[in-house]
Amino acid sequence: MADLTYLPPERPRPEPPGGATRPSVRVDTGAFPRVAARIDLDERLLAGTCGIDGPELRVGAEDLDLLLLAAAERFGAGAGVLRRQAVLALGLLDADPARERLRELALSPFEHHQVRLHALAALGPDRAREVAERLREDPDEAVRDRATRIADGTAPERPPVPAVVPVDRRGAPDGRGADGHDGHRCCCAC
Amino acid sequence: MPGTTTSVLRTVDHVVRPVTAWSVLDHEPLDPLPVEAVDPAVLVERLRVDPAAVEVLHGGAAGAAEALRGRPELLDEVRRVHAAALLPGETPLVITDVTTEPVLSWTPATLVVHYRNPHEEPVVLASVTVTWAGEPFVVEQEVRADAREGTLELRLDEEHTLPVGPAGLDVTLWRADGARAAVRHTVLVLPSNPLAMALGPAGARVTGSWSLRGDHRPESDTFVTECEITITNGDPRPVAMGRSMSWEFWDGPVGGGTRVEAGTLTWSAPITVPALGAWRGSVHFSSPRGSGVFGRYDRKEDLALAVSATAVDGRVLRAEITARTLLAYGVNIIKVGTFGAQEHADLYAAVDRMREVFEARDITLRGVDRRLITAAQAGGYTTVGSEDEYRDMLEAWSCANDYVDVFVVQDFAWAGYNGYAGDIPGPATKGGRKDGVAVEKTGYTDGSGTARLDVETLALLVGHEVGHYLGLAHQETTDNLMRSSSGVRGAAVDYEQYRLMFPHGYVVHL
Ligand SMILES: [Zn+2]
Repeated sequence: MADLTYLPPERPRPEPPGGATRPSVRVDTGAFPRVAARIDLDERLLAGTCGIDGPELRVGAEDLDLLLLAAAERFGAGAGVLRRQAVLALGLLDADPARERLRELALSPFEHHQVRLHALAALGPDRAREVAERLREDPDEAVRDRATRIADGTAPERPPVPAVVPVDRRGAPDGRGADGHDGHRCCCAC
Repeated sequence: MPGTTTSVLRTVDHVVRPVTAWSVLDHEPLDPLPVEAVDPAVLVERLRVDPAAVEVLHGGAAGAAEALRGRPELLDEVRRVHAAALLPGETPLVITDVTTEPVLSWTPATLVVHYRNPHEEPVVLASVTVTWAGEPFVVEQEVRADAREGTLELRLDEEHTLPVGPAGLDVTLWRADGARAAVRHTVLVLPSNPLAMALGPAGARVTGSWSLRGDHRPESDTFVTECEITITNGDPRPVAMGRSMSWEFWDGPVGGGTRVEAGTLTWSAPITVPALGAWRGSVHFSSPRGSGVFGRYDRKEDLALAVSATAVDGRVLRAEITARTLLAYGVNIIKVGTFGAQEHADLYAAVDRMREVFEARDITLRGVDRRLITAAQAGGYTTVGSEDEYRDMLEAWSCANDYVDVFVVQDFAWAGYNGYAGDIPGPATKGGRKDGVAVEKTGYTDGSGTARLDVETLALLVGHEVGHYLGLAHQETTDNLMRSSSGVRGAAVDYEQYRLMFPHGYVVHL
């Protein structure tokens, strides 16, 4: 551990020229109620993403249309985490269109496997088992593995004794260590 | 016999991206075409795929599962076609590109947002979130765009001009029905005066002026200091620079303390700063035991590095930056399950970016150990579906060293979480059910159909969970790394948080 006697005092940070702030400019979204509702929904979807005392994901029947829209947005930034949160939230609604969309997403080989796995989870155990039966032969490895576990009701297999994680033999993508140094600075003998 | 003075170990000229699309993490242009309206031969030609892949897409998702069972090797190509096409009934708002003229310091700028909107509802709101050396800000603008495709202009006016340096511009459009489209874009703001030089730590991509780090190399008992030099030119004609630059290390501020060591460095090739563009190079200083710089670093004292360069036309550029030793921790990056080549590259780009986030608060990575649990070895742990599964994974696997174990799994399908830490703080020993953090890999399919990871989101996510492990709780201040929502999480770590991480058993002085 670092010796606290070396804790340096807070050092002044250089202020960027022209000051460190600029005023934000907001538009009153009152004239666009669906846009206001969407901004509010997105905030709720992303609010509880950390497992350490994150707030529970809360959505209601009034969010259905916007959730269907968000769950379909597969282009650009937002196609990752935000879209998957919308997929998961569809599972919290007791609505046939939501369940139908989740089934489609879980079964669609076009979709990214994380979207499909989220859709499977969102369906809940009973419906997921039904869908998982049809995914035992899926071309996507991650989907196939999870679906087989869901269909068979099996837990992950643990190594018999705690195992040491093997070294990844694939090198750095650009020949640099990810710590910014040239070469591979690593604590193991590889 | 090594000398006892600081010398230039080497210099490296970098390939520089255009200043109007500065970061390697920027979006690529998108242009999805409606699959019903396009001749399949056009898609085959444009994407260079097997015609069968286009046929599979035409068959719809239900038929595709059947078709791919017979030809699973087509999956990647089918996904490439899917990424470039709109299926029947799909009417998403898409930002196809964001373009701008070179942005000059203290000068208003206009972003041109190119969009496609196959829906009758118009685009009504546009916004840009700017991340730069200061506090992030947002500029929203009401718009009215009814066309199926077109451009919108977003303006940063006199009140929102920026100083020289990199700036992130996250652009979002909203349609009246609540549909949304967003892309990441970055620029390098050029000096309007019109030539400037800046120093930064290695690999600095988005914001800030912070410190260089003195990095002790035990094998040679030297401190190595890497400094990136950027020269920006706001003039519409190129500038030739002299190949030699002078450097000085000072203790205390330049000119105010004592000059510790000085010398000159020479670049291997002539330097030309392109018109309305930038030149970038790195220099590595090596300071052996006995040198003045070594002694200051060894006593944990701050130094300042000053560099000066001269243009062939006689203009002199000077810049300076603080240099210090940093605290450090190590990470074992543990890929769980299969990662494609691009996903692997994205993952380590995210680790690099995370390092920058901590270095801005004087904490760096002492090492990054690359580990892999294959899907076959994982025995079902490639996805995390509950707290029990998460803790079972920690108990089943660990790396026998004093680095933080970071499991990057295929997916978290558990209550809307995308990351979790074993404890606050996590133990400084291995074994048990608390000795690591886990995150989902933040995957998506990009416009070319390649499986990617969201580098910026992943960097902040890993940094956030490691922050918990090193002792930090949630903190909801603007732009903080420890904000609980991944929608508003930023890259800021404050001094109090630095103080809290300082005594963790995995944190050491380099
Ligand atoms: Zn958290």
